[in-house]
Amino acid sequence: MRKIIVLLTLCLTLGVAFAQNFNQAQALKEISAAAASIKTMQCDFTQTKSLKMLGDKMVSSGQMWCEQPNMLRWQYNTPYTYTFILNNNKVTVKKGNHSDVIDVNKNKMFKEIARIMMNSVLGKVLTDKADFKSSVIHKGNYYIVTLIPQKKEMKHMFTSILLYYDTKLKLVTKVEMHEKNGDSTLIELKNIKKDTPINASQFKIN
Amino acid sequence: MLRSLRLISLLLILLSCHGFAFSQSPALAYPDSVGQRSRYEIIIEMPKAYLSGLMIMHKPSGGHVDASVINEFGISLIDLSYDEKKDKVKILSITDKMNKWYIKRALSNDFKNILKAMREGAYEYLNTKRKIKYSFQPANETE
Repeated sequence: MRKIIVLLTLCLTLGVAFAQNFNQAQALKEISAAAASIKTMQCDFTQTKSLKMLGDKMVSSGQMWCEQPNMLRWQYNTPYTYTFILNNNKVTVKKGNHSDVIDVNKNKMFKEIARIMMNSVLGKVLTDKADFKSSVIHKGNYYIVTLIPQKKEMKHMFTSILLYYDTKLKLVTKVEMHEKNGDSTLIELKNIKKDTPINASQFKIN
Repeated sequence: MLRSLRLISLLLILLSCHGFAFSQSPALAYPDSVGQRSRYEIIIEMPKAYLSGLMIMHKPSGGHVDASVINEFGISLIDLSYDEKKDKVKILSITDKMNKWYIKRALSNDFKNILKAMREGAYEYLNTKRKIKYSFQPANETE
């Protein structure tokens, strides 16, 4: 009797494990395929920074434009104005009269920020095994992908990153980033437009 | 050498915090009463660099003010606590790349002076030795 129970438990456990692996593989495949099919994307975003020590939240919002493979404009409009433009290997950061151009290859932190911003919203990080360990769960309309950074530069900044892939929209609509000190940042994407032409001036480096 | 290392390390970390303009908003005071919160945009001008970010402050109890400095992307740089009675700043957490004793010591000292200056109503602090100018402006509230 005991042997039968053990065997049944083992079968059930393996069955669940197999089902989970299967689902994870399917989910990752689906997200990657959806990401690969996106040529351009633009949207509004809200960024909510939760500060653990202060028990406070800082909300900022703006707009985002991106074009495969390496063009991104990430623009904060409120409560501060700040624009980050990635155009291949160059980054412009500007506000008001101040504008700086940075070569991302000469600044690892910038390179990682640019990469994670671009790849997260497009769901491309999933294929980068050297960068992250990933696992997926299915909850409601979302596949929630948990990414654990493997590279030093990313480990310095985040303990984990969660991507919320909307299975109906076939897009990542939320990104949650967790830091060592217990702080977290939630980025929610809204009014998403896929594959509509973006004026090249949005990515102009100056 | 030590001074250069400090500046280089600070520069590398804060490079993602470049300039932004100050917005018109009602002035927020240094948090003098318990429970009060203040938010500031912070600009650090060094001889060869220009950096920016946000500083959020909270007075959890009498005699203490806690503050967090983050960049515009929301990445935490420093969490600190200012003991007003002892006039001391303790760095509670700091981003890995800045987690060096000499950087923490320099930052503790600068933030002590910054918070003292802010308490007296100033929105600027100049480190004359290292020629670093820290400027603050109340940030707009969105919540």
